[in-house]
Amino acid sequence: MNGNLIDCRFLTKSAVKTIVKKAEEYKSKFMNGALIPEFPGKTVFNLFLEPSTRTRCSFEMAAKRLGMMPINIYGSFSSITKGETLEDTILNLSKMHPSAFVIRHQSSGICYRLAEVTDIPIINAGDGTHAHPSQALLDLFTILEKKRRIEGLNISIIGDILSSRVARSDAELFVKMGCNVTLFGPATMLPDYPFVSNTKIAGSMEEAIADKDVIVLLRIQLERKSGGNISSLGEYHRYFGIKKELLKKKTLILHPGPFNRGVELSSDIVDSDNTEIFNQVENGVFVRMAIFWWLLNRQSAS
Amino acid sequence: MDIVLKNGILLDPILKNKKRTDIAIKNGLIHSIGKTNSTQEVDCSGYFLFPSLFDLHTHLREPGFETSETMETGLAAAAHGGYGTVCAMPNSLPVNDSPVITKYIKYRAKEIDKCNVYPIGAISEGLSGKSLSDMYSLKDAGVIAYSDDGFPVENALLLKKAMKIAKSIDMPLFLHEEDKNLSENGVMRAGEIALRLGLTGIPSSAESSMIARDLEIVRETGARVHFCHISCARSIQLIREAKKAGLPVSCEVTPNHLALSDEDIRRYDANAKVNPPLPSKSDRELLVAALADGTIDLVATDHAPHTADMKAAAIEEAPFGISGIETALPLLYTKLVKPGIIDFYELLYRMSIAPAEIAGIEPDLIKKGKPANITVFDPTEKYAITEEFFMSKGKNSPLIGKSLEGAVKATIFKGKLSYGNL
Repeated sequence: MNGNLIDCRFLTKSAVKTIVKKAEEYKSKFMNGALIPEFPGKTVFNLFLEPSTRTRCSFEMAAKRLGMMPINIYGSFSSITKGETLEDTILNLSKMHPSAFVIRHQSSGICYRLAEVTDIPIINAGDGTHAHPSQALLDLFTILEKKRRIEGLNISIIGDILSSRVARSDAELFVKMGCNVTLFGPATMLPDYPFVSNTKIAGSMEEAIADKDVIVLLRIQLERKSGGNISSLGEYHRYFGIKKELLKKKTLILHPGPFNRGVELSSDIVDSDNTEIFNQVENGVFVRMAIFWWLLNRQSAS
Repeated sequence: MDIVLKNGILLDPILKNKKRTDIAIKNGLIHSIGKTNSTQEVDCSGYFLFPSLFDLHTHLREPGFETSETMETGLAAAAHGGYGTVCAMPNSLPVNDSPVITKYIKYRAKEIDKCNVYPIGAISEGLSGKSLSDMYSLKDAGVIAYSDDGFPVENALLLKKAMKIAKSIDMPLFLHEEDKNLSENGVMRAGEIALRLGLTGIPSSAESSMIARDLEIVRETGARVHFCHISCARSIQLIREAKKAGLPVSCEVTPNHLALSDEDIRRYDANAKVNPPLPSKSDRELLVAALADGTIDLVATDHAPHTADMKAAAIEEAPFGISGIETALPLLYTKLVKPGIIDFYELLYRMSIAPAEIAGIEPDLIKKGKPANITVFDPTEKYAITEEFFMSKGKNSPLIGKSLEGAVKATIFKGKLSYGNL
């Protein structure tokens, strides 16, 4: 996957470390009041063809902090609605010589297809139920920041595993970095087959929570199609929600957002010391700056 | 000592043996078995004594349909039938798809205190077949299984999801198997007799095709599935093969499907209209054989009381269902045990121990220290079934006017008479 960031499977451990280290550097510089316009005048197309606020703003902010000029394109304004194929759109936009594409799309694997028609680096900002690598990297960064280590940590991912691109990317990355990854959720939201190698599925909520250094929660949506996966959000919270009394003091709670108070987690946890949810958002910008840096440097090196 | 049952013949449906003995009852429990003298004794000579029966499939109609049955009358009828436990199907109004209704049913059962009642929760919200019920909360409230009985779960994906959840919390699903398109508003089993009568027939494929579909889903999910009231040869064959393949499935048959056939509908009697319909004569014989060889695990009544008014409608309009919990044991005693087709121990096992196992409930046994839930049965009494025979509000039985042999004399529940006098 030369020159792209499409999923976590093909990221090498050393690339992960390089990105994380750079993000740390950016964060400490920024927190000390420094400006970091390392790529002045470079342009990036943010193609968000599925609704997104947090991720889109985070990429835009990251680009601007580096002195880049992001251009945002949303599904409803684009030529997509005028019948052009996405491949043709990318071919057209490539001719404007941007430095990168950031793409969010509802279709799994779309970035692989697009990477075949352009040499411009593509950053997957979430494709269908496939992958969300920048989220996984910022989750890793946040964990490292708090725990100062990653290898050997016990991490649970709880929620709608089956339809979550975050679950897949997180699991791939955490396993790669030497964590013990456990998955849990209602049986209807768990995979029937091995999901990511070397992950295991917990037998109960108790098992999913016990002795975990980190718990990643996933957003639950009450989908009514085909009867839904669970009867109600209340039922979900009762049997799969994280409640304060279940938590150890040092367990970190992560959530890619947007979270539902009283569904995936009780409100008092959102506001507690266990929660890293808002730090994740803060770190997301630095990690995405590091991703831009990593891709643009590789591009100029080649 | 509260009471001593003297000189009865104690039948053990597990060991399949009998002995003449006394049973002493104290504080609702079996105090001792063996010769006992007491001033509070009743002569049980000539009577069979055995653990009270367990019905896996009962429609108690309360809440919501109290004109057809209340829990008072339904549990009185159960006791009259020799039952000490019933499992209440969720098609009440409101449907038992939430913990509130489950708890109400359990509360009423305790209040009436004539019979154990284990509620069954709905698979889908309101039996709509559209979205899942609160399966987790229902389990915590005390349901022993999930069922949309009365309706099939037509949406196979919804059923698969229900199976996955049920499997993950170790609960069984009880499935009413019927393809409603194939059954086409029919009123009786498709066949020569339906044709002769000019009635729309329900083909046996309406049942067997859904069983075939759902066995495929069980193969993928590994969920425990119990097929309700099976009624035809192909269903038996499919389940026999599935069991041989090691799938976690079981099934039941009703007393009516074991003892009656479509030939009993010749007078357009809506009281014989039941879903699934009464089998052909040859299928009936296969059902009996499948019960004997264990392919069919147990007998469940599908007690379905309806008012006389509802059943007085034309046969096409009348609701499905037979009021059957009071006739179950005497009917099978008359038709299967007396002629030597099935031995009585085996029948009792299939009406008490086997259903308790499927429900995951410890079965009643007549043993020292156990709750005194005992049925006293006179094997010699001959009588005609009349409307007055029924304690259920539902008198809808095709057996009215027929003669049976063998009668429940009394049922003892937690040491007290729930039916009869001794």
